[in-house]
Amino acid sequence: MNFYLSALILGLALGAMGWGIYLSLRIFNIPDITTDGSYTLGAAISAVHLAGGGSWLSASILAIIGGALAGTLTGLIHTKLKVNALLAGILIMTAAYSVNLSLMQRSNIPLLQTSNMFNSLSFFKSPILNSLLILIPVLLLLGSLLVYMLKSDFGIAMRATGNAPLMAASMGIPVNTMKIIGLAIANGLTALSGSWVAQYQNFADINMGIGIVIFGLGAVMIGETIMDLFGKRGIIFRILGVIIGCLVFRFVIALSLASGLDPNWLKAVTALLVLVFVSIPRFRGKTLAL
Amino acid sequence: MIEIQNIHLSFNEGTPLEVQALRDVNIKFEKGSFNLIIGANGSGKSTLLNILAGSLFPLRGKVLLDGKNITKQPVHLRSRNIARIFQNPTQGTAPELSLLENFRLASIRTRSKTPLVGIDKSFRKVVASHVSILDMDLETRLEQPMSSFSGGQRQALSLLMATFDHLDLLLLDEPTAALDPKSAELIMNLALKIVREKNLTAIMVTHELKHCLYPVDRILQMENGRLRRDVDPDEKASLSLSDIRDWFL
Repeated sequence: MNFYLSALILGLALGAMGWGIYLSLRIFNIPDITTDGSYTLGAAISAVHLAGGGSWLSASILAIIGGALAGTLTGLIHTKLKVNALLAGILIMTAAYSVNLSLMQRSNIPLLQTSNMFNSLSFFKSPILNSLLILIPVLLLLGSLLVYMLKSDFGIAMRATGNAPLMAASMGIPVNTMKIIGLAIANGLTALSGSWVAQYQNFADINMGIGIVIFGLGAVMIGETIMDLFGKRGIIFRILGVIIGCLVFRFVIALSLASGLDPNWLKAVTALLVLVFVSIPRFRGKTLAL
Repeated sequence: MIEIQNIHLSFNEGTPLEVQALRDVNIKFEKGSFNLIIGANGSGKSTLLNILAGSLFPLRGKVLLDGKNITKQPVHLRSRNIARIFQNPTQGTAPELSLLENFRLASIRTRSKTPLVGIDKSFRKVVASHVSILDMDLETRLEQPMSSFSGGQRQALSLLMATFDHLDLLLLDEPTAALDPKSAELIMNLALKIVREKNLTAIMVTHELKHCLYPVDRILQMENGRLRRDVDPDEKASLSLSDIRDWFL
């Protein structure tokens, strides 16, 4: 039971990163590889901060700032130096590895003795229920903020930037600045997820971000496919769909491991699952651009 | 009034591939006038429009809007005074955004995009009454994505969107080129009606000679990057379509 509850919490904790990928991929049409780096960055910043006696709240905020900086750099390289967005993301992801290592000073920081977000409440006897009690309201708040932002004038301008850049510029939207802001928000959310997962797992590891972008892409697509099945296309359902996508993805991984899958093959299974979901719309006669 | 002075632009300058797109072009467009720029492919008419819109900067020369130098002003800042209708109806509107959201953007073209929700009941009403003048039954489809409308409908909507906020200059980049004849006529008449009603300055680029027969104020012919002909209203009244065809022989 705890095994699946743990998958539930991990899936929810990865939701913020899923939203980040939704912003970069679906709103701005950029598959942002920076994610792998900013996820670990969020974990590294939080681990160093918590190990030094800092609070989980300030650790989360510092992680968001760090991720936003990484996203800003990717955005600047992409828009000012006209480097392909994919390459710009790979550059920052690679550079982030060194930054993370020099922050952490070693490849792994254990956080067993520190207080964190998930052990901050003691309302229930079960630590997992206490974790859910804090994580779910935080996610609800964050998701509502995102929905509001995307429906606001600023959000409409954001969506137009990715959807019709020529039109966006002629409507007075500084499209380059908008992309930089978008990538900053996206990577801020990703780093927040990194921070949460490190806090939940009680360690930060230099390699924890490898392939996490694939998880995010997969979660976004699984969420969309599920919401499309029910004919729900509004922004609220997109944001909700990402969380459902993260949970489904996490449970599939948990089930694969529980059924005796060799953990060495976990990344391959992850990639295969994303491939399946990317191809579903093709088989249903629709096109979905990645 | 918008004025271009000694505009010069060549692509791949200094290489064997050099193309002189515009050579020392000087034009003054009077306030409240509807100007038609005609020319063959490669005559420089679209380059001229891009320079006016801010999506291309000239190598030499100036663009003046009411005396203010806007030569190097980027598109998004120029949009405070200038709106543009694109040749491809899919470029002038955001396909995945709803009709309402497209109009929301158009209504704040000259203002900052704040993180507050601006679409409310009263805004919805304004848009509904605005699009009802098109008589296309769009007022009941405000929530639909722009991609669900036809090219003609989208082009008509972009014209309405252009005038939804303050505007000095309307640029029309072959707005009917991608449309069927009936929609093309509708768009031309709608553009003329809007420009006259709001007393706007309009500059339209086209290669459709029959557009010269519409009641526009002035016809300019571009050829090889230069202004070849400049026909004022008096002269225009006596022109027939075959006269204009002869210009291209």
